[in-house]
Amino acid sequence: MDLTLIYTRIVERYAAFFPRPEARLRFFNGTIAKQVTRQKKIEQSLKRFSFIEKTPFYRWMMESMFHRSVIEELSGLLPEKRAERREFLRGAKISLGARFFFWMYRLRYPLYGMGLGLIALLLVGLYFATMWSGQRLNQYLAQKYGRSGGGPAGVIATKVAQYLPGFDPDKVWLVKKDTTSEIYSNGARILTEFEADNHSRNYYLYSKETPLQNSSLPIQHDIIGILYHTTESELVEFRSDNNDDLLRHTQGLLGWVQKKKSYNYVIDRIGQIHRVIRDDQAADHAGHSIWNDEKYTYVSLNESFLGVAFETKGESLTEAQVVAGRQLTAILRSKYNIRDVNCTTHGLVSFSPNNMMIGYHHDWAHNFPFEAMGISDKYPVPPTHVAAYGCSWEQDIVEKMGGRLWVGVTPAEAEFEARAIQSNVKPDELRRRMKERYSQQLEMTRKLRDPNGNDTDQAKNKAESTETDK
Amino acid sequence: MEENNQQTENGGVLGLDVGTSRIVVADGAEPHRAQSQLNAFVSVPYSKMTETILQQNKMVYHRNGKDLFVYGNEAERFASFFNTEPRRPMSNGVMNAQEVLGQQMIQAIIEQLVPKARNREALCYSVPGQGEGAGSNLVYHEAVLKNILGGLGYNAKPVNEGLAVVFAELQAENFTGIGISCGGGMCNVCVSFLSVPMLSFSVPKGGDYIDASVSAVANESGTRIRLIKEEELDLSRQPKDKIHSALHIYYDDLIQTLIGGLSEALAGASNLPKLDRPIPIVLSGGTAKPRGFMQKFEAAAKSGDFPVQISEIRLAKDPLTATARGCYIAAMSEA
Repeated sequence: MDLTLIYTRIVERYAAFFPRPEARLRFFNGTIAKQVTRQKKIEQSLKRFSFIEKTPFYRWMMESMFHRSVIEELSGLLPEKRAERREFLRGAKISLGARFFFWMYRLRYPLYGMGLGLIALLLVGLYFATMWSGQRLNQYLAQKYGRSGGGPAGVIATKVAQYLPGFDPDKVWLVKKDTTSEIYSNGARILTEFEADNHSRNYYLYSKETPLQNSSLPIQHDIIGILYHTTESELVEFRSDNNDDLLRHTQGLLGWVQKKKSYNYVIDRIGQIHRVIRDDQAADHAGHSIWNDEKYTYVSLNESFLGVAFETKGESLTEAQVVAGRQLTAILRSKYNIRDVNCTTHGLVSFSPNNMMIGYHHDWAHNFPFEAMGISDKYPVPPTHVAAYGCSWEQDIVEKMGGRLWVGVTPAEAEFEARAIQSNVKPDELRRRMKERYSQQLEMTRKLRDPNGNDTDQAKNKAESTETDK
Repeated sequence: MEENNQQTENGGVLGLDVGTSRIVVADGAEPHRAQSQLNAFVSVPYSKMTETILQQNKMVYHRNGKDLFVYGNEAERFASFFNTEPRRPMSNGVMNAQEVLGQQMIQAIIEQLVPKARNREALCYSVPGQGEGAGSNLVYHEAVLKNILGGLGYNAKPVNEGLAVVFAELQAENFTGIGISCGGGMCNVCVSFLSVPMLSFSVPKGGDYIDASVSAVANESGTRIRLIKEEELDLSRQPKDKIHSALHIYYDDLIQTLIGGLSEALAGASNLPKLDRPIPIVLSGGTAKPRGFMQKFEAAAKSGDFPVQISEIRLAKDPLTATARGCYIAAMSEA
């Protein structure tokens, strides 16, 4: 259709706004003058691309521009006072279409805002829909293949593992076993010379979402996770002319660990893996400790986590230890179906229940080579003792840890504050409740082991509270 | 100079039709809001007796040295009283170059009709379109009028006479159509699209041409011919005598010239928009007033070869004031 005809139809639609001839004439003159100026400008800019003028797009553009000119002119000619304008518009016998376009133009800014809002909502909706679908898919795959999957959005300690592929362990199996060692398909050899028993694993699972409620879940015995430690034992120089001393120190350490039932595994300085406390037995490695995954909070991790200690002091490992640590991690994860989210370090779970301060033990509170172990970095994950139990820290522990705590502590603090708001209590009150709650949980765990209250572990835990740092 | 109080009371926005035969001023869009004066004057040598006669008859006059000038509507009465022909400040739609006192007289007539502006109000005045006979006179004519009206304190703007007819009569059609003003000196045509003049021209034939031609062939005075034309002529009936017959002939000639000019102009126009519907033609002006003129024009138009379809041909509500009213609407739209 010719542009002139389009213009005629549009402008005539709005002409009824002006029953008086001079007003209508002013409206036509103003609109046409505006359109002519704009059209000239467009034609000027499209001089080199004159073919565009023959396209439907150009016609559409001109039509839209004319609509704009018409409505701009219309707005300028209407009475300024709202009541007069309303009266004017009511009196004008104009078509519904013209009224609609006119009001759409008048309300264009709120409409733009609403449009942007809708787009934002749509994008957010898409994001959450994608997240939800991904989680559902992960859950489905986890159920189908028995592997770890994702949890609900916003759940602590899952995001890092969930989005880093490659932390699912390969299947590793036992290849050969004799009285002193086991050889695994990933080349690892576990020495069993110092193997000993302690006590069987017994613990409860506590719901992560409702930490203040007792769950009626059955007693658990399964291995849930791995906790990495340092032995903090005296070291000799790691040199080729020092082999005897190296071996002698390791032997001494293993004897001590066996005696104290301190860890399930020790990786010595030349990368040998020693099983000290059998896997189905709880070693006394974790002390007062808490961790959680998407669903459950684990209290007193001796019962549910394997303790793996590197023979070192501070944060240095030999290359052989790194290789052996990775191999052992793969074996244990494969054997007990341990999820990446539940492989963490002692420094990230330890706290003192007396003053609710973190960092009671701080081995591997930094610089643990998570990825070298084939697991995801847990430092960004908000730790449970801060996020759920409201634990705090003292300046000296910050100084001991090189001037700053690991990054997950800051969001954990915010999370605890949010929990307090959600529970309608002050943070201090929630902290007090959680402290009581921890005591109850500890008591429940103790009773599992010794219903008559003669548990040596309890005494040990108490003693540990006053123990100095490792 | 004496003044009769014929000025518009408003003193606000005005429309002014400066025609060869009459000057009409409108201060509203309705016909009754218009006043007019004959665009003519008569001069006689001064004598005390003549001046007394003028004063006794309450005539508007102007004394200039040895002459007395009577102008406007009184000019015709005064001319018949002294058995003389009134002089015309304009001819063929523009200032009459042969008339030395033309500009002075036209100013006097305008001042009789148009009050001084209060606050540079808008005033639109009619000007003829380009055409044979108008030429560079048109520029002079337009400038003289602008000067006179500017002197009265107005923000004066010219409007094509045909377009003014469109403004006055084609509001319902959104100012799209053809306006024709058939005046004394010439006929003006304007094709308008949504108030924008797409094409305008003038034909140097009007009431004066008919009067002069019939007067020549019928050997009668121009005044008598005009009286017959205005009072008796019915173009829908057969002519009853030589004069009527001559009037029919020259009206036919005028209409044919108009239709021919319009067809030619429409066919030659390259900037005409494509229209998807027929457009109307409105006729106005004193020359279009005789009974049967519209029917004659319609018949001629039907036989003509127009490149646009015509929906209807109609006569303006008040043909004598249509141009002035259109100018008023234009002035109001500028205000």
